[in-house]
Amino acid sequence: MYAGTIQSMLDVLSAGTASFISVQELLNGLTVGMVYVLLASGLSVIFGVMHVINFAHGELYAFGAYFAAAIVTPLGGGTGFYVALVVAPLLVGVMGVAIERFTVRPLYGRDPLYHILLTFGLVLVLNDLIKLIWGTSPRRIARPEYLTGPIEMVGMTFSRYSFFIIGFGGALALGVWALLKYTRYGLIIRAGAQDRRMVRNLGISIDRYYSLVFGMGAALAAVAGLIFTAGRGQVVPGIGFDIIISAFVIVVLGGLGSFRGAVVGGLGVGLLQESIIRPGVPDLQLPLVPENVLAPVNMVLGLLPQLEGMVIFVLMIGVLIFRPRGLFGTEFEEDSGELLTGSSGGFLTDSGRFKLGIAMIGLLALVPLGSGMLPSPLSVRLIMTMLTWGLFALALDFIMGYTGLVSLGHALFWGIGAYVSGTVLFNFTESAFVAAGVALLVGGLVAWIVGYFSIRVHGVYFAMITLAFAELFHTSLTKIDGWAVGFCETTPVCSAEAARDIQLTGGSEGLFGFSSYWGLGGVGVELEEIGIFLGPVTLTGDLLLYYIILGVVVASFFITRRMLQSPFGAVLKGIRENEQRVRFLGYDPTVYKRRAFVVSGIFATLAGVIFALNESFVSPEAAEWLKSGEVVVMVILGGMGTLFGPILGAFTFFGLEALLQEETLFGPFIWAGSLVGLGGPIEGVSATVAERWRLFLGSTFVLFVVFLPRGLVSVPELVQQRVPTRFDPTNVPADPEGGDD
Amino acid sequence: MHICQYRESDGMRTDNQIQKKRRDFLKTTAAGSAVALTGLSGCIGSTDDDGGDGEDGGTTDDGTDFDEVTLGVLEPFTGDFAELATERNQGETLAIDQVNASDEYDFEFNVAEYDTQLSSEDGVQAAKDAIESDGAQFLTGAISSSVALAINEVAANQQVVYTPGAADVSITGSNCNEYVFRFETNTAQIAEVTTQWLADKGWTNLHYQIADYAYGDSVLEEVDSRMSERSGDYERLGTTRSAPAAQNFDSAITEIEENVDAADALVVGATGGHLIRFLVQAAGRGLKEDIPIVTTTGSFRVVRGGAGSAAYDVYSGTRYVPSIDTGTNPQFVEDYQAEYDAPPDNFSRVGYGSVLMLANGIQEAGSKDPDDVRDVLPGMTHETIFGDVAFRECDQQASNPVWMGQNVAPEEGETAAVELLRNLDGEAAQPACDTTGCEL
Amino acid sequence: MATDDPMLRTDGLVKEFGNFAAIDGVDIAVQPGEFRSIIGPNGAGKTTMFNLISGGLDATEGAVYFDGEDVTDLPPEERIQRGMGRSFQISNIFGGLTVRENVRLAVQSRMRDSYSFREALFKPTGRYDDINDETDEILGRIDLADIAEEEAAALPYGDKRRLEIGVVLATEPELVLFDEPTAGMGPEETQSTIDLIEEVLVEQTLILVEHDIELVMEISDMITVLNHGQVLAEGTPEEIADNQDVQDAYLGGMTE
Repeated sequence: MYAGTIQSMLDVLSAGTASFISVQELLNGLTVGMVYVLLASGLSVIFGVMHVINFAHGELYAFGAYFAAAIVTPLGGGTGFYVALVVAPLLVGVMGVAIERFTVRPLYGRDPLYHILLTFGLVLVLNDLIKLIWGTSPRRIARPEYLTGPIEMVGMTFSRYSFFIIGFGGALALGVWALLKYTRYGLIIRAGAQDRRMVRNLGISIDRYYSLVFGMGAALAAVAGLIFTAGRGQVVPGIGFDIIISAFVIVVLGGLGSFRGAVVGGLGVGLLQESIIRPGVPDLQLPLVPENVLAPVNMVLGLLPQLEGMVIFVLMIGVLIFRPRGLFGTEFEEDSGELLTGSSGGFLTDSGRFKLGIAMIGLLALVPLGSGMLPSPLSVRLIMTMLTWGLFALALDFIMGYTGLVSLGHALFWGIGAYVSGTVLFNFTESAFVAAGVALLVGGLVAWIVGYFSIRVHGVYFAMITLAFAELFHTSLTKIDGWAVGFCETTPVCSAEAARDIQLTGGSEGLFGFSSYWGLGGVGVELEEIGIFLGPVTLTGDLLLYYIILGVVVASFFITRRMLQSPFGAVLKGIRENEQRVRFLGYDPTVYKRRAFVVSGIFATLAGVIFALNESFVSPEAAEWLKSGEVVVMVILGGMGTLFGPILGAFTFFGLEALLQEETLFGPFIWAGSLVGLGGPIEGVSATVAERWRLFLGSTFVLFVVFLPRGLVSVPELVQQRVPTRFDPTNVPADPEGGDD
Repeated sequence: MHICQYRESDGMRTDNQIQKKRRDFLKTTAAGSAVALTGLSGCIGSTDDDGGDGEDGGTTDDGTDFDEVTLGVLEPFTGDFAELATERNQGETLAIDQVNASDEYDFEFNVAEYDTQLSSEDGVQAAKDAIESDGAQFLTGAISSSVALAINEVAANQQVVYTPGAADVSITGSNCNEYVFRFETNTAQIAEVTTQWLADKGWTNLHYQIADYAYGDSVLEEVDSRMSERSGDYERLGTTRSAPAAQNFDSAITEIEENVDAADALVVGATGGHLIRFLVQAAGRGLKEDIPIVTTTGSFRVVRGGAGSAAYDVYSGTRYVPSIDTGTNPQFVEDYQAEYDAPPDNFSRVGYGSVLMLANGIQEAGSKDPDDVRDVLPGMTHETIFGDVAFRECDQQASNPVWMGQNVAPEEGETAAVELLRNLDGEAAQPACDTTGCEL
Repeated sequence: MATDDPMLRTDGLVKEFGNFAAIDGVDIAVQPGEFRSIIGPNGAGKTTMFNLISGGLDATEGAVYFDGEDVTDLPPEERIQRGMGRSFQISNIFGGLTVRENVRLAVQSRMRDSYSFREALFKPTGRYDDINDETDEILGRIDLADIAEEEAAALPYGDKRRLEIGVVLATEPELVLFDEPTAGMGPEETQSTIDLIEEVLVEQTLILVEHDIELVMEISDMITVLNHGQVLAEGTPEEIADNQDVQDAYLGGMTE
């Protein structure tokens, strides 16, 4: 083969880099980097042309791997691998086209944030589809014999397959580049990424190219999934989840919409992670530069391995603040499509709604009294979860529904609430009040800092920067204890012994087994120790906590509602309606948005505190990005900009989850089916539904985004529109756009 | 409405005071309130249950009798441990069916199954749901040590008996509690046989590759501390860590390669998909040819099957192989084979054994009250697939025998076979009571 | 402030978009109480000029002085706080809010520094007597008191324009910038809008951008004619009407 050439290339490389990183490390970085390139370039071009942030891209990556596994398993690792290399990306490409046609297309013209919501729903659908089709057990993609095992070169051992990934991935990326550069299609796509309107003005219907771009992006993701997982040894359902955030980081760093950016970003992040941060780098020694000048630099370099996983998020935040368009991106025109907030209430009058609300609170207050009699899915615990998430969703709505800023990082505050209160309870005092107080303080402070940096960027960039902050926090959770010990070992401020005894975050296991009492300074009650006896029912422990949570949620609702009626709230509503006009009334929207973000952060923190108090347990999952996505789902499901809609959304989310998992729900269908001899199949289907409830939840959500974007609260209004009893002046379309020329 | 406060002292509490368990409270108030609060209209203590049904404060008898015992089965059916979970679940199901069909037991198991995935949050949720929605008095399951540790705490708080399927030492060590009984062999027992064998081989310069969570840390700690005691020549040359869900081990392998010349062996503290991926990638880089790889779970069939030829030659501390002829194992293997058309493996026997030992305890106690069962189980001898085994009183860890094994190329097929190299009996493998960190 | 300072002065104002200079060195000075109109053919730079004055765009070069102070680098909201007011070409009100809420939001912007933190955050706007009184007064002046509780988006076009003017009025500006306030109106509506402006803003300095030459001639004190981003002519309506350059520019612009 070309072993000779490669060998001499490696010689040169090793000579040039030996002092800093080894050839092996370089190869590691390039291998991962090339996979990132394939994954991120599709994501970036899709964004550039359609302004769609495609969260489902990771699932398409996973589908590529699964299709390949399904093809290779019967055909074997020889020819099967090559067949898969062609067929799997084609299949995923077709999926991409279908996704664009049937789900993304109806949303063009709306705010790009709806695409985030849609594709997040698709993540749930596609991920469960994988489990439905291929099961949850790991699969393998066998490779041809000569692509496995090690190869000896320049006295070192390398993996043959790494060369394949770099070579094949590189060739493919080059091909795509040539396609974009030299063909008419490529020209139109590139032009579209620069300025869609201009392309349309030239009489080219760019929309026709959308499916093509989406399909190609999907196919590239599939190739990435295939070649990477084949070499890693295993295909599992979660691979898409795990990689999508890295892909976003790369796309942001390289510049949203830029192919070149995706290539440079992908290789850069791969090298940074695998070649520099992970193995660490030796101290820099430069001639002529005195050592004490280099000392701080070397200290930072020495710390890098400890910051593995975090550096890229710091970079991402930095880029978003100082150069939102990334390395190679162009400033893209912000699509100010309409954000569809909740409705005016339809046939429900204000007082009707108020009464309905009071009735619902009353009903909720009665639940524990009859807890023994409720049907099993409707347990007290379930409603406590619903209430906690209801509060979380309400908090998000305060910023999302009233200022139009979609935060994809609210898990940060949930995590802070849970962890700070958990740490306080675990290490310092068992007073729930102190724990909650400290947590809210920290949550508010962090919200202010994050808000300070984030509010200055808009739309999709805001979603990305909040995501980055949340991920930064999430990745730091497993490391904080180690840092505390390390810090105390090097400074006399604290003793390392004491630091070892304290568990601030409890590493990857988290903190568990803390208990709390409701009081201050050692005076107070534990819920387990008091009981309220009402007839045959004793309220104690969790049931008392239930009322505390209900009280907190109801109080939070009224407090936030009150805030929206205040001058502060009036400005927020003004910003939602017409941000530009608010400025020309003399308000600085940034200030108000930041304040709203702090309020939102504090209430989200409160939800996290309640979670920790309820579960007596907290683990790093508390801050994972899925939580941020789920709470956005709830807000949309209920109807944003209404405060009570999101609470409704949380109830619906968990209600659906519990219902779909409840097999007795399907009893009547099975019974009816058995009458006509179809009991068996229906039972099978219902078991599937119960097990793969996310598939149905995700589908429901996708349907919501497409057909009912104003959420559940808009149902009464829709009903009213169907029943035209009187002329409704509110149906006259608003004219929110203020152009001046 | 009255607030009835139970308090022996003056109403003050101090931090870190051991939490009074709710059921104790309910029982006491039930007795006390009748006397102290007679005549106070709403204040009726009626919380006497017949043992461990729902904890939803004060619901009375739910109508079930001793002949129905609810068992919450909590397994990671999705994620890296999905195959292990299936294996374990098959063992559990076999045992449950046998108990329900047998005249020796005066009760039947009701089963509530939950998927814990790989997440402690889902695990805790599942455990609480099983207890509160289904009224489970007994829990079994979890393979991830992190998840098991979290469920440990639920078991203690809700006072239900739990038999975990994870191997982290602290589950019956520093994080033990009186409701947790473990039939799974723990890492300390495996480390005992592994380090004896390493020391005898003279392999004392070790590099560690650790999955960065409870189980991996447990392996590191147990092997490291035992090797330091065992051999004056012992040296820990390096430690590399990878995230539990890591896909890519290239850079870890590169770091390991730097120690290959100096090290006698590579100790890998990982299991499931993580170990499979590591072995496949290590084989791709030729690491196996350069250094012996010693694992603690490499003998699992799932790992051998998943890694294919990459698992050949790998050494492993071994908790179970179907070929042993101790105790009831031959019968178990036959029954299992008949039911599932495949031989059992470690997790099948853990699931099977855990359920049977629980059943024995319930039968012996003559009650489904977890507190009663908790009282009879410690020290009670059971006839198991390993012969007579007991949950030791000081830490409630089963005294299982352990082996050292090596994966070898099979005579047919691709999945490696396990060759046993050394055996250590249950008593010898267990660490001394005073070193476990468990205080019961 | 020295009394002889103009209300608004620009000094060598330049705005470039890429290589194209939309405004290319404009100096104007508007005296207190003056009614100034800016006219010019399409693309002459009127709206850009407007945005530079109000802060909607940042100037490439040059400076803007308001009330004698350099406001070139201030964002729009701070210029508004110093006493500028701006209305928009197309009604740019808060469609989802009621007429009253629209006006109230504008009134409130002037008073917000007088409330405590707690008040500003928790006291419902409806309970501030000072704000409500002023709001009522302005609703009366723009003759929309009857329909104060209607959603603004549902108003007829003419009422939207009135509301727009009311919102500007509510911020109590010293200088008001009007961007084609009568665009798209019939003669009758136009007249009533102009009447309204002259009635409620008689004290204020006004700058108007307008297409309707006849209207401008009728109501302005002074007129500035822009063409290709430069001042083509400046003077009273009479002077402008007689200016040959202006006629050429307009004729040229129209036949192009």
